[in-house]
Amino acid sequence: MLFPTWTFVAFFLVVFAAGWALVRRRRAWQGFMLAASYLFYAFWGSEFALLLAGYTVVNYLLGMAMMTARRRRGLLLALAVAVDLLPLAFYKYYGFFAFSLSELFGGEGVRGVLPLLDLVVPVGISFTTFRGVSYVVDAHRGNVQEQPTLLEFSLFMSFFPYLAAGPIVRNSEVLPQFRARVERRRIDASRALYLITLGLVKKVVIGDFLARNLVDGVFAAPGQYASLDVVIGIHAYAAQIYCDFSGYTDMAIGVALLLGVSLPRNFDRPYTAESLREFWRRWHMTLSRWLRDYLYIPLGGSRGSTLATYRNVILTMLIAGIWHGAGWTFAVWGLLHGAGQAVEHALIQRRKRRGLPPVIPSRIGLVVRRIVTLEFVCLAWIFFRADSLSTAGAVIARTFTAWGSAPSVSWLVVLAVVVGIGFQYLPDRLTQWVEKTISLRAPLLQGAVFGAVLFVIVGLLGAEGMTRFIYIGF
Amino acid sequence: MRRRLLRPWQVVVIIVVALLVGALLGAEPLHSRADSLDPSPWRTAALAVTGSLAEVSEFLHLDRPWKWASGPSEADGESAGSGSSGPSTVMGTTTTLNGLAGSTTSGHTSAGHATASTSAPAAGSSSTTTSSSTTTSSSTTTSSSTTTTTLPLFTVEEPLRVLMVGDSMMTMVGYGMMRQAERHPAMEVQVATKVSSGLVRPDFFDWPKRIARGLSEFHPHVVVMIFGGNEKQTMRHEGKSLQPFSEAWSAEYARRVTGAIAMCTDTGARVIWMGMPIMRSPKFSETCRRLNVFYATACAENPDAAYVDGYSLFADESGQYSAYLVDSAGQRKLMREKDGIHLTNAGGDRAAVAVMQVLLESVRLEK
Repeated sequence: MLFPTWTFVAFFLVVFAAGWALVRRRRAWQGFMLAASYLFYAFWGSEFALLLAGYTVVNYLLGMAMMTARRRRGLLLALAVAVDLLPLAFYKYYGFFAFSLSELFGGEGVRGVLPLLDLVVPVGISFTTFRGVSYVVDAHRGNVQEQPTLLEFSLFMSFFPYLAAGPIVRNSEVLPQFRARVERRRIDASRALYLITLGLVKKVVIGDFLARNLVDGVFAAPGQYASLDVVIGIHAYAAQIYCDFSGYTDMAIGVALLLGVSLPRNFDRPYTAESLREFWRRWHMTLSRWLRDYLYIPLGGSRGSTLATYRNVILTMLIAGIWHGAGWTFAVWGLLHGAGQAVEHALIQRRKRRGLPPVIPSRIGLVVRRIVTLEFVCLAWIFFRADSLSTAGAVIARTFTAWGSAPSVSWLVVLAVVVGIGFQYLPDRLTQWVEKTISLRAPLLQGAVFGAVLFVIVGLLGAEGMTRFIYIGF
Repeated sequence: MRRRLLRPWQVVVIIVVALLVGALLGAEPLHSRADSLDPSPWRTAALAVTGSLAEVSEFLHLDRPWKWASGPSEADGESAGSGSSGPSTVMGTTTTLNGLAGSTTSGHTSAGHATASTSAPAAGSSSTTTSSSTTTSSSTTTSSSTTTTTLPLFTVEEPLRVLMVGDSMMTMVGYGMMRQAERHPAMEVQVATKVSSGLVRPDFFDWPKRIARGLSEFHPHVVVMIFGGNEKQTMRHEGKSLQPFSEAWSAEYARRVTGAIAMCTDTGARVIWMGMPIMRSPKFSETCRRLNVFYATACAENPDAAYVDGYSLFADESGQYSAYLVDSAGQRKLMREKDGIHLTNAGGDRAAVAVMQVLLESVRLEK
């Protein structure tokens, strides 16, 4: 079930009303939210819900064993992580593995052993894996403050606002909220409605528009586009993927907020970053911290030699790339980000070795840094979006080989790219002003304005239907 | 001053008012949508509610924004890139076009329109085209082909213009044809797609108007069509609601398909209609098979139209759905998206190759 659908609206109205009616009876509230979350998930397939239930029980038991065991806790952790990764490996990487082997060994011979299966990847399986692994690792590290009940843990694993595409929450962020007694029923509605509206605008008005009107074509047949079309198309993809993914998480955070649950922020104006390291502190923030805490630091982080640090950065980003998809293009995307951050690290270290203070860039220097970072990120996006390395190569080559006018780009497309990237420079205080202004109006007026805005976004601007959320596929 | 927090009932008020305002503003499309539902108590209730909403909306003039936005242009939101129940099955047949009239000397515009009034193609200034019937076989289709003595030649300066139109199934086929155009510079491809559209619901998107616009602006020599992904819907016709695949629905749908083809061939353009591919869902596959009958029949009735059997094209050796199929280079590729409906790039290429096969039987493209 996707957020911007009538089915979800009907579902949410019931969940909202019943949820707040039960909010002072926490166990009943937890049970109701769990049932609602499984219903939400079962819309994609009841077999997915069964898999999620199995996943939940196994992680709960292993986590509990780790918290109570005095010996062999490392072994239990290894077992838990392996069990967590197994469904992901099968559903997400088996096809790529079997296909690569099939190509390598001439096809037919391998197909008997590793047949090419038409697997339907369970929605949000990567995000479920992240939650499962983070919980068992936290249990091993002693970072689970209070042993949750099976009901609480099940809700942590399946709470529908973040189930399909994040944000990637930690047990310490939501379990206390699921348990807490609610004395005053109060909702930060203006922020929630603002986020939901913003998410819809990003997804329907900007992201989908750019996908349909330039991006898909440029990446499908780059040879049919002029260089300027392709260059704008690459930047359009940067705007599209930001609007698509951050739009989804805006809606997820808004929906959770209406239910009284606060979720962590996932994006913080990433295209304003002055370096790749800063970009990753602003882009998919809950993934970045997961990678840092559960991958980069266990690999050794920056505690070892300089070379070991570079290796750890590159390896972490490579794994991040492969997590996004089973394909060489994603691996290259991860490697580019890893190598880029390693270079940045090396430049900083060189200054340190020379005893020089960190560079404080001038205003122009700041602009240059931001442009360089954005362009590097756009270059990497080419590999992320292209369906093969050869397509990525063709897109890059086309940016140099067909200069002239850009017949496929309309002013509306350019405007959407500028807005998609540029509005990240709007100050936070503007957002706060909008939220506050909304909150001070009477509910009737808020409802009328919200309804009219929804009509314009979904009914008029999004009348052609909505494309699939990109990150739902991950 | 901080934001004001609301009580749950106040949020319920906001949501209910928002839905009411949104529903009043969009009452007309909501009513059309309710009307297109399959017969059920739910449809009856939806029609009653949305009908009342539409009346109130009209009374309050809240229907104006929708009318204003949807009235003037039939092409809002489309994607464009430059680049009686029928018989139960039609499978394994691909018909071909009669030869396209073309000329290296008279220019591609005149070449494309010289045959407007003739069902048998006129010869170009130096080309002669005759028809006969032979049989060729491919891995998935049997085709009756046209033999031509000298086929019309299109050049980079005078390219063959191909207009691709259809629902979301056309998207990847269109891109596949654009990649074909990279290999054949004497071909120019324009793609116009609209997701969730079809010939059943002109109130949602008026394809005849859009096709007419494409014909008058692009002057295509060939129009490639794919429809069928969203056609199993109730059809409004002469004030009546016709249920999918009922006798009246089938008669009207056949008329619309025939009409869409005729409006292209009447301008001298030729039509290649690709049937819907086999789907992962057996139920949807059955729908596609039934719809394909309309397309194949309409193509068979028009000498300037050819039907490509998309259903068999995307079935495996045993005639079943398979996400992986062997491509023209002999490599097994992932042809279908995760939804078991749409095509991947490789799938688009496979479809485009099939279209090109039909196309190149009636034209020559300068290398």
